[in-house]
Amino acid sequence: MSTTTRTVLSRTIVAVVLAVLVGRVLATLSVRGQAIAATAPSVQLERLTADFDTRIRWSLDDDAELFFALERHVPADAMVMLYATEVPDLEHTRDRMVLLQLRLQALRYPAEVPMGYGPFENAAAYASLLQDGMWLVNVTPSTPVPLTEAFDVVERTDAFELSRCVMSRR
Amino acid sequence: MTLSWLGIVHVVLAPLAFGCVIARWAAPRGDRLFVLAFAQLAGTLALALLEFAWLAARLDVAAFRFVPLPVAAIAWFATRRAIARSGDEAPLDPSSHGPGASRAARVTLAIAVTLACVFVAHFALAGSETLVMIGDEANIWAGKAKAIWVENGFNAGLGERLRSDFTLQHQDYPLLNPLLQVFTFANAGGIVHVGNRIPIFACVVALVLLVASSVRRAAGSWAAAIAVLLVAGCHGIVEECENAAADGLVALGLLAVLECAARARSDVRWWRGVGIALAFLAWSKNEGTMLAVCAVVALGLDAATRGPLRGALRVAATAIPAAALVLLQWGFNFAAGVRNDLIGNPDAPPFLERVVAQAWDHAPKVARAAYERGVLDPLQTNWIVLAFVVLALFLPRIAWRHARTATIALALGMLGFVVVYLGTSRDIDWHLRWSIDRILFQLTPACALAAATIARGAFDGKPRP
Repeated sequence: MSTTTRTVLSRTIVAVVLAVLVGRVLATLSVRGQAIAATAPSVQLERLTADFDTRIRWSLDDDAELFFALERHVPADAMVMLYATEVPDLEHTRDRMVLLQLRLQALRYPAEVPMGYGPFENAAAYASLLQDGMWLVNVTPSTPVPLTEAFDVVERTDAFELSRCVMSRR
Repeated sequence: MTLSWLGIVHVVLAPLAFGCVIARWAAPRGDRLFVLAFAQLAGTLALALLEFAWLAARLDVAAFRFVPLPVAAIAWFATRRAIARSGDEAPLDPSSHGPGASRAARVTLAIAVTLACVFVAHFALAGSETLVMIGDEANIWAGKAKAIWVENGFNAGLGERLRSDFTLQHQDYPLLNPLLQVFTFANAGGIVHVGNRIPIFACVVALVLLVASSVRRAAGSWAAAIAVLLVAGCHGIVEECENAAADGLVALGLLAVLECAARARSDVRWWRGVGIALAFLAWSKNEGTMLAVCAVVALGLDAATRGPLRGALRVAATAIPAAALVLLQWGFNFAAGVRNDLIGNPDAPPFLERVVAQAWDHAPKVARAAYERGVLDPLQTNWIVLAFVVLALFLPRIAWRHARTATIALALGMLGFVVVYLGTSRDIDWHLRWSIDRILFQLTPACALAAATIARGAFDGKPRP
């Protein structure tokens, strides 16, 4: 291949690559420009100046209420049992609980947030945990759970404290 | 606990104060984009090193916030006097803007850099909607910073905390990023969960400026405008703006090494910048350490092919600060009792055995992941890595002649990542899913520089200084 041919070929390759990249610049400007244009300046200002609680709400979405419930009611050194019951997306719910534990741990560092995860099959199990001083936090209160029954069991043993059960508002 | 506005200003200015001192000695006068980016890089490294020494001396971690600015001021006057005596100031940049750059090209580049800064500011603000509490930024980087803060530095309990905290991962990773976050804790007087991203984000801004400066030197202002918009607009940078991970530091360090090495061809005093950038890269992350080794090998090969042994010896001397930092990190890891889970995993066969045993299974998956993320998702890297690979493969002579160091370093780096994936002790699908995007981003800015250099070489015929 002659030098001229090689030069033309190499410049053609570069020109093609350059054309593609210029296309990418236009696409990038379009995508990012639309995203920025769609964000009101007030939103940007709010992002800049938001307080800590607001950022927690943004970060945790639906789980923010659960976080605040844990943060405000459960002592720092308490053992917490997050439990879910027989829900169709139990695995997903359990993943959520694990993530919530990690997030709590990160925000309350160096306090540890030891947690266990349900579900348990019968009321006696709940009662036993409550008697042991564990906090039970229902992350799926909309589903039928044998909680009332568990309370009955615990009440009978005089070990139940209503404040120990934090119900999320989810 | 939140960082006050004054604290934010201090967190941003303290590294720059150190950087300005170092730039007087090691960076060019004239190229403002480069000076600012290099000052951020060098100042960040100096601040972290000073903090390391402070903590190693078992001094109060919270009191460190009073240290950097006075030390930087003393260093400024000392450097000024030393330079005045020796006349050994940083060299004038021979190619800043370039005399041939038209006004239109310069204005376009200025607009592109401004737009790029708007992009990254937008990404960072969007990222500030979430707190640092999940993922690598929390489990690797902020977690380590919190452990250092809670133990008030490198005290006896730190090793135990690092080993026993089940939320911490990769405890052996380098300390540059955690020390920067500890500096924000010291300024806030406690652990913060958003402001600790600021010093990392400042390095991403420096990365954007360095892309503009380096590509402008290599291929002119038009090419720089294209490159800076592509890098600042790609998906890869979004994650770096939104979290406090170290991949932006790796990308900045790699690009700075290659850029300083390219400038060193016209003035040997640029080797100072290469040494500083190599040290930054090696201390940024374990991937950064590997890329620093690749860069040193590439520099050595380049020097060996170009001339006398003196060049190779200079490369070896330039790598000494980086090697010292790696040894320092290994010493810290040894003292803390933590080790690398890739090479030092006692529950898995030796690394090289795993590479051989798993190669057949892992290689196609790695190739597919690279293809899916680097090619099928154009916004991930804006096809910059692809552009470099295409140009290097189809124009190898031009790549060898004009962008030898960058091409060898990037090729070795890509090969290194493939070997890591082949030998991983984790599930390969999981490993690829959570890392391939970040690795592509680490390489993207350097690929932009290399691709621009090759493209320019195809038209110019002779390399620019």
